[in-house]
Amino acid sequence: MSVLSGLSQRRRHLGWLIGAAVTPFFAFNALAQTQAELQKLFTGSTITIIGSNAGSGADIMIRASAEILGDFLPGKPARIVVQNVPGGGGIPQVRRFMQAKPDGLTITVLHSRHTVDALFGTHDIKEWDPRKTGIIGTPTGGGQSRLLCVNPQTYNWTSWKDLIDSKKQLNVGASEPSGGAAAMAVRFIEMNKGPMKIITGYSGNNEIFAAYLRGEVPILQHCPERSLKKEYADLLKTPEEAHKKFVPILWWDVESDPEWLKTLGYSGKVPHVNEVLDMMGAGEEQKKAFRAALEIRSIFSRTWTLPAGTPEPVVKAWQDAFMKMTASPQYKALMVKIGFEDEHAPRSAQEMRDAFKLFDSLSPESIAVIKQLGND
Amino acid sequence: MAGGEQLFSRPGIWLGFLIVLPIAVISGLKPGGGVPVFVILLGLTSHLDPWVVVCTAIFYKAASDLMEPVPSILLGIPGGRSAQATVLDGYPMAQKGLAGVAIGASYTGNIVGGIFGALVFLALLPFARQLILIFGSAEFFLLTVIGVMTVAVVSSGAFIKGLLTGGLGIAIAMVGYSSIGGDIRATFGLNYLYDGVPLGPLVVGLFAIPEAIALVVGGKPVAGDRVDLLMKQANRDVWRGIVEGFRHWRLMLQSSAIGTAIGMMPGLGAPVAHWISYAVARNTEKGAHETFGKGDIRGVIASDAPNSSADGGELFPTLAFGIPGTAGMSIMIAIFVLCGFTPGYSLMTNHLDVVVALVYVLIIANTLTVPIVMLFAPYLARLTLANPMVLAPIVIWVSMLAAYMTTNSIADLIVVLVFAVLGLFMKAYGWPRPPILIAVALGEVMEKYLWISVNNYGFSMFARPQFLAILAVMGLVALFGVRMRRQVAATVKEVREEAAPTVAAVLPEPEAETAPVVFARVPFRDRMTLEFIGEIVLLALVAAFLGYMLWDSTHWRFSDRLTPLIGVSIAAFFWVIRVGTIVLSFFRPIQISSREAKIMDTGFQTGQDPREARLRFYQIFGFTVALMLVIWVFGFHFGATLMLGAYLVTIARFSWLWTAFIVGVAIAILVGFYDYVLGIPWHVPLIVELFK
Repeated sequence: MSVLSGLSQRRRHLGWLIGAAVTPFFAFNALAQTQAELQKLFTGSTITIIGSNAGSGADIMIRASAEILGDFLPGKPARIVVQNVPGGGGIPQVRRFMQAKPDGLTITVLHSRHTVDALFGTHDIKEWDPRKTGIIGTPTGGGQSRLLCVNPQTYNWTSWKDLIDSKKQLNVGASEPSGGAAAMAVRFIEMNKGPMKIITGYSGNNEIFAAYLRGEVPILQHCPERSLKKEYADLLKTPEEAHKKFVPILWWDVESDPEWLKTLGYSGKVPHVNEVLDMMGAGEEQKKAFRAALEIRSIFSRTWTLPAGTPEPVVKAWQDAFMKMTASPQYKALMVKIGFEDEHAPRSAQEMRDAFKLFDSLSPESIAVIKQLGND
Repeated sequence: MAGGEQLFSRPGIWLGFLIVLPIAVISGLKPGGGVPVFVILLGLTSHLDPWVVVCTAIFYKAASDLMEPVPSILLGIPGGRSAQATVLDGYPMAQKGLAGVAIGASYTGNIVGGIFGALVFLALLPFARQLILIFGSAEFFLLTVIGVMTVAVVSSGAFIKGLLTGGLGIAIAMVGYSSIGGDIRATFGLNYLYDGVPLGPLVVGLFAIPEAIALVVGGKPVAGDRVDLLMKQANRDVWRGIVEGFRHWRLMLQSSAIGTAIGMMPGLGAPVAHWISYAVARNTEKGAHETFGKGDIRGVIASDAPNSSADGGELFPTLAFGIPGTAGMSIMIAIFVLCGFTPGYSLMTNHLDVVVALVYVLIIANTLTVPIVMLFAPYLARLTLANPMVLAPIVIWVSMLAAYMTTNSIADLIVVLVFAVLGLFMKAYGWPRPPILIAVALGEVMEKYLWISVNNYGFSMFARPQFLAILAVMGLVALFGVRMRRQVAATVKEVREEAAPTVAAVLPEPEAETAPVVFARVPFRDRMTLEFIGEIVLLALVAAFLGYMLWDSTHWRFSDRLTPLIGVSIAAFFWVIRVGTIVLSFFRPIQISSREAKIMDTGFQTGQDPREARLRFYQIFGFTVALMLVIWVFGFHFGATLMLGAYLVTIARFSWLWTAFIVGVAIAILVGFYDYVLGIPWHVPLIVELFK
C-alpha cells in the first residue's frame, strides 16, 4: 500500500465520519421541516371526507370520527366536512374521489367492494386502481364474532344434515348484492348450491331483523351480540325466551363467547362454516378461498384512503393520526355511544397492503371462486 | 311526563324551533323538494345538546311537510313527495279564484291529520313493536301496487295515454344502480344516472316549467278573471276553507287514519298514503268520480290530511326498529344514533322520555306552523293574482335553484330541460303527467317489495290473511264507489242542490260539449298538424326509450330485469293501442283527438290573440333555455340573477327599481342562505374554468 493510497483511505474514512455525524442533523432538519410543512398544511384547513349515503352506517362512523380526528393530525384543521355522494352502489362516490386533488385535505371511506372488485378486475370503473391510492387504514378490519341464527318458529331446525338432505332452501335477507364480511358464509353456502338463498332489497339490518322476527325470512345472517342485547333486549329476557327466536347454527371469523350462547339458551357446539362446507362436499380449495375472501373483504371494509399522488409524508401523517385516533379512549367511547363497539378492529395501512400480497398468492381457482362471490 | 318536562325545561329546543321554522317554510315552498337541513343537523350532533338536535329534526320534518301543499295549490307544482295529489284539485281551485279556500281546507286537514297521527302513536306506543310485525313485505307490495294503480284515477279522460305514461314512469324509475342485483340499468353510459333519474329535477321539468310557461302564454294570472272576487274574499276564503274542512270531518278522519296506518308500514309513508287516500276518497265521497281532479275541496282534504298524519305513523318503524320509512327518515335515524339514542328496544324503554317528547314536538310543529301559514294564506293566495310575466320567470328561477340542489351538478338542469320539453308537450296535447310522477315516486319501492315477496312467499302471499284483509278493504271501497257512482248518476241534479253553497261553488260546471277532433276522411296534408306530428315524435321517443331499456335489460340479472320489463310491457301494450288507434283513423272515422284529458293536462289557454301567445311562448321558453346556459357558463350568483333581471326589464317591462329589488333578494338568498347557512358546493362556471 503506497503512502498516497493510505492518505486517500484516511481521507475517505474521515469523510464517512463527518458524513455520519452530519446526517442525523440533516435528517432531523428535514424531519423538522416536514413537520412544519405538515402543520402548516393542516392548521386552519378544511378537511373534506367524501362519504356515501347520508345516514348509512359508514356515514355515522365517519361523522363520529370527525368529531375527534382534528386532535390527532399534525395541525388543527378549522373544520371537517363530510360530503355525501349517495347512491349508485358507491360508484359516484369513487368517481368523485378520483377527481379529488391529492393535496392531503380530501379523503374518502370506501366500501370493501370498491377495493375487492378492483383487485379482481370486476369493478364498474375500469380505470379505478385502489393500489395506487394512499391507504390510511380501516377502523373495522374484521376479527369479529360472527354467528348465523335460525328462527325456530319459522323453520323447525334440527341439524345441518337434515336441512341439506331435505333439499329445502332457506331464505336470508340482505340489503345489497355486494355484501360485506357479515354475509360471507351465506354467500359461500349459496354458491355451493347449499340450502340457503340470499334475498336482497331490504333497506338495512333493522328491516332484515324485523323480517326475521315476523317469520318472513327464517335465517338471520348475523346475530351480533351487542345490538341484540341493546336493541332487542325484550327477546332475551330469559334463555328459554331467547331460544324461541334465535338458534345459533353456524359461526365464522371468531368463535362466539360461550356465555353469549348461554344467553341465547344454547348449550351445544355451534359448527364452523368449514364443517358445513365439508357436508356439502365443497373441498379444500373452496375453504381456502373462503378464508381468503373473508380476510380480504374484512380488511378492506370502510377503507380510509387518500387520492393517488398524495405526497408520501402527508400519507404517513394521516396513517399515524388514524392509528393514534382509533387507539384513543375518546374514539372507543364514541364507538360505544353510536353502538359500533362490536366492529372496532382497526388495521394499519401496512396490514392492508399485506392483504394485497395475500391476493397475489391466491390460486386462479380461488380467485375464480371469490370473483363469483362478488358477482352472484 | 318526563318528555314534556325535558321539552319545556330546555330553551335550546325552542330556539332550535325558531331557527328552523323559517327554513322549513322556505324549504317546503320550493317546488320539487326541500333543502338538505337534515344533513346540516347531522353535522351538528356533536356540537349541540342531543335533545335539541332530535327535537329540532322532528320539528323541521313536520313543519316542512306542512308547507308542501302551497306550491301545489298556488302554481300547480307538486311541492314534494307527500303533497303530489294536492295538485289535482288544489290547482284547479286556485284557477277558479279559490286558492284561499283550498289553503284553508288543506291546513285544516293537515293540522287534524298531524294531531291525529301523533295521538295514535302515543296511544299505540306500548304495542309499537308488535304492530310493526303484523304486516310483511307482501302487504307492503300490495299497498305500493294500489298506490301505483291510482294512475288510472288520474288518467281520467285519457285512459290509454295515462296508462302508457304510467308504464313509462315505472321504466324511468328503474334507471340506475339496482340495489337488488347490482346491475347498472339504462343509464346511457352517464355517471349522473347511476343513482337513477332524480325526482326533484323531474318534478320541476314536468310540472314547474310547463305551468310557468302556461301562465305566460295565457297572459292571465293563475286565478284568471276572478281578480276582483279574490281581492275581496282572500281573507274570508281561508276561513271558508277551514269551515269546509271541518264540515268534512269524516273524510278528514278517514284520510288521517289511512295516513297513519300506511305511515306505520316501513318504507311506504306519506308518498304512498296520500295517493291511496285520494283514491279511496274518490270512491267513498258522493259525486267524487265526476268532480275530483277538477277543483273539489274534498280532493284537497283527502290528499293533505294523510300528509301530516303519516308523520306519526312513520315514527313507529323509525323509533321502534330503526327502519326508515323514507330517505329523510334514514338520516333522521343517523341523527338519533349520533345523539346516543339508538332506535329500538333501548330507545323505547330507556329513553321513553325522548319518544314522548317527539310526540309533543309533532303536535307543536303542527299547531305552530299551521297558524303561521294561515296568517300568511291570504297573501299567498294573492300570488295567484300576480302578473304572469313577472311571476313566471321568478318561478322558473326558483325551480332551477331547487332542482340544482339535488346533486349540485349542472346535469340536474339538463334533466329539468328534458322533462320540461316532455311536460310541455304532454300539457299541450292532453297526455296526463301525474301518472309519470306516481310511477317514478313509487316504482323503486314497488320493485323492492315485489322481489322480496315473490322470493319469500311465492303464490302463498295471496293466501296471507293480512294480504287478503287489505285486498278485501280495497275491494269494498271499490264496490262502494261503484254503488255511489250509480246513485249519483241517478240523482246528479239532486246532489247539486243538496250540496252546501261552498261545495257547490267548487263543483265543476257541467262540461261544455266540445267538438271532437276527427281526423278521418281528412286529406293527408291537412292531418299534419303540430299536434299530430308532435304525438308521432313523442310516440317515437317513447318507443326508442322502451327499446333501449329492453335491449339493455338483456345484460341484467333476472332480479333486475323483472320490474323494468313489467313497466316496459305495460307501456308497450298501451303504445300499440295508441298507435293502432292512429293508424285505424286513416281508414274509418275515429276520434283520436288527444285533448280529452280531464285532469290538469287540458292544453294551453292562448287568449284572444294566438300570434301574441306564440311570441310569449318563444320568449319564456327561450328564457328557460338561456337561463340554463347562463348558469352553466357564468354560475348562479352572477349569471342567473342577471338573466332574471334582464328578462324582467326587457320582456316583462318591469320597473328598474322593482327588478333591482328582486335581483337583490335573489342574491341575498344565494349568499346568505345557500352559501353561509347551507354551504352549498356550487359548480365551477365554465368561464372560470376557461380562465384558469
